[in-house]
Amino acid sequence: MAQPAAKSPFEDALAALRRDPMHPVRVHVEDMDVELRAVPTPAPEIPLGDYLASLGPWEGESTEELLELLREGRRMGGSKEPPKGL
Amino acid sequence: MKLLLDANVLVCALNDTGGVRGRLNEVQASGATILTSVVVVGELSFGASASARPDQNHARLRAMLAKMEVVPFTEAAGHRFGDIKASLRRRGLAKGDADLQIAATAIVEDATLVTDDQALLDGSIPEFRTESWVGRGKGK
Repeated sequence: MAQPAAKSPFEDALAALRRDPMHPVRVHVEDMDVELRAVPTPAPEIPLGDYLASLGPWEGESTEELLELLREGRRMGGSKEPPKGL
Repeated sequence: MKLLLDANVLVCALNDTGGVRGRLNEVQASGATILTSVVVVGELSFGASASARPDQNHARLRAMLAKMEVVPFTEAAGHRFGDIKASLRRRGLAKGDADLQIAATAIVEDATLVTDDQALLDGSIPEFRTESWVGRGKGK
């Protein structure tokens, strides 16, 4: 019956780190001393829809007021007459 | 898949209305490339400058664009704009130049325009793909 292959020092160190992720583990691999440490898994980037919603809402005008302002801009295609008082 | 977002859709995303937030999350998760146009940036910047709270809304716009790819109005888009405008004119149809610049940009980028602008959703521009996501009264 075949014997299981012996684990390398690196695999042993990784197993030790898995048992206790809070403490780095040092291991000698070939001609190097290596330290293994667990680092926090980066949080996934926030989805774009959630990100945009987190920036809002637009201030000073309601959604409909802002959309009407943008529609007016498209209809006019220019700057039109300035408001009175300017 | 490439999607180019119109100004009205970005407003709904910022204000979390019309169901845009969820759709945007879904398409991004499916691997779509999300773009907007420099023309849309101009419109939203106009909206911020004309707002009662310009500083706050310009800051909001800058933060929004920091996470988005903005497509320029290129020479190729300029030629496509001219072709579309002349074609519509021959057919007795009129559309605003901003609408046509955005449409030309989407066509040149091989992107689908996501918009709530009825003038762009009427199917009158050949080779121009559009979608409407904004559900009236559907909330978030």
